[in-house]
Amino acid sequence: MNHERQFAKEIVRRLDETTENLAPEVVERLVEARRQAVLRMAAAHSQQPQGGGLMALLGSYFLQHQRSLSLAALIAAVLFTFVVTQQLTGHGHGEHGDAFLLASELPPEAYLDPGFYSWLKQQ
Amino acid sequence: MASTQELSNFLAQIERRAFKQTAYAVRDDHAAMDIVQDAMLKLAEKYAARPVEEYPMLFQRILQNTMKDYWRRQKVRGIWTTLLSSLGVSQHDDEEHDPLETMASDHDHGNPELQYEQQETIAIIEAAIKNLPTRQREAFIMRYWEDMDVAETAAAMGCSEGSVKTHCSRAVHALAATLEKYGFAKEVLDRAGGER
Repeated sequence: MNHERQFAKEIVRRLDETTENLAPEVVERLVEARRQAVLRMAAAHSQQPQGGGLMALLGSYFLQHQRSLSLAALIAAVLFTFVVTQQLTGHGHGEHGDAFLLASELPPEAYLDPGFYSWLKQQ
Repeated sequence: MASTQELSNFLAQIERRAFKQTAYAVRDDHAAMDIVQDAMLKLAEKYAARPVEEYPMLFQRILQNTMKDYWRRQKVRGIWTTLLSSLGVSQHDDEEHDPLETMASDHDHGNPELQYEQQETIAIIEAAIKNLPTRQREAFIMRYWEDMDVAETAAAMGCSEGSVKTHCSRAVHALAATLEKYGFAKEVLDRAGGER
């Protein structure tokens, strides 16, 4: 194993020599490619949310989970609308029910109720 | 998170080896240059938030994937070339590659015999590396030229550590056999202090 490694290192030493003698245009293009990569990284860094602390953390979390958070917000809005609608329509039903009871005539069975009959006499 | 200066230093350290490594694989300097540039840009753009310690493994992984994309495109282009040549449209393609033809000949100022021999040795070593099976070449270069450890090489290649060791061992033996065929193995091994 050690012998293999020594042999490999000797090969690599020769390969290193080849990198010293690259054509000038290749070296120039590599330098330019590196410069472009550095600019690309600077742009990537600047796109990340600025500012420290909680807001930056929340901002990056939102960016990472944008789809699932949007879906959750939509579901919450639908549920909220449903609950509010139920509340409003239920309240209306109650008022209508009371008015109906007060306005309608008593059914004949009501006079058969002794409790109601005694109450009516006291009135 | 790596800084732009750290990225620049890292790329300056590996760019020449990356270019040679890619050129061995694709056998085309212009394509190799494009692939290395693509890999550099992808690393900078996609992994700007990663620590610089992860860059050697990440860069190798990106480089291998970019090479695979290149070969995929070449395969499609090859299908069209075959179709066109079958229709009688001539296409110049130098598939046959003789390592001695690519030997640098424009640096022979002060041209001693020793320099010629060194160039010849390097040309044969490079040809032997180019002729290694892809996985063996990847493992050999990452492990010994990039000096990555077995675990990092395995992560970059997407295989087990055992496979990396096997690929490396086979690559070394294949290189030794090729050099021996050209009569260079003894010289290289003597320098390595071995007694093969």
